[in-house]
Amino acid sequence: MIPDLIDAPVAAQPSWNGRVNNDRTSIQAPRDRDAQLMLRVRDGDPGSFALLLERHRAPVLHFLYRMVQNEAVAEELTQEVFLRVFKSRGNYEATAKFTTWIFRIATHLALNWIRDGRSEKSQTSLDEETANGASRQVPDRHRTVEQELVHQAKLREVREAIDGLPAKQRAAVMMHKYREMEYAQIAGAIGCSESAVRSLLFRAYEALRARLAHMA
Amino acid sequence: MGCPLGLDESGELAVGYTARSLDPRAQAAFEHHLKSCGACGEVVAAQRAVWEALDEWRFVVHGPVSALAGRISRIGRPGSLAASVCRPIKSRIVGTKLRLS
Repeated sequence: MIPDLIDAPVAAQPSWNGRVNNDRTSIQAPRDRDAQLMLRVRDGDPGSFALLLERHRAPVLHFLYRMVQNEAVAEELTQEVFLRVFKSRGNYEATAKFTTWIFRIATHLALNWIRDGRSEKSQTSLDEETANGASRQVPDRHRTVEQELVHQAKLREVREAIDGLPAKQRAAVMMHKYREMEYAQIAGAIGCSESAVRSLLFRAYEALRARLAHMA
Repeated sequence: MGCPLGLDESGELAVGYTARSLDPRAQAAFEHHLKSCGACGEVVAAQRAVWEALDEWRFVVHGPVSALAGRISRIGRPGSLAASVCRPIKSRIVGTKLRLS
């Protein structure tokens, strides 16, 4: 079973490695809403699935895009995530946080895709314009051409540094950095222990510091 | 207070401090410690560079979800679900702004 963060005890004393966890209400509300929506999906309400899709599609797509670094593949895998959610609706029980569940599916799909070596065949160049405009880097109108070139060079370096991480480390960093997920939730999504998540993040950030510290 | 870096085997301290995810008292205590510890300062500076570099990677997503609706329809669901799912979605990453100043 995926650990439930909501019921985890909150540390009474601060510690060097304590993380802020004092706003239980703000965490609980989305969990309840998602769970309720999913229970309605289970009971045959199509509108609730559309709402879940609207709430979670973009975060899942962003995560998968950063994992596989290919728009078309990320879109395809995102569809697969929600298709699996939909197919599993009959067996759904609100025993775990919904976000953890869908990120567990997304991580599983991404790791399988990377493991199968398909990333080497379909890497999208940063310079390549997309045909369908599914996703693009955010343009900054305040940048000069020269600043934009510098930005693109930095971005390429970041992407290469991320791409150089082992897949599980990459997944842990993406969830920690961009989704601000707690260690227990990341552990639930990756399917490992919290101590393993700590180790993954330690090694990942150590590697990233070695590659990106000069960008300060 | 002694330097905590040697005890911080998992590296959570520098990462948590940079992400501002430490317990507030631990955040303040480490910030105070940084004023007198060059070793910790170097690690934090490097981690901050990583954090800021990762912040560069933002993008927008515009995309129809009609393909998903089609796949759901193929597994035998009512058209109303496909219609619900087909609503266009437009989103933008905004949640990774730099939180250190």
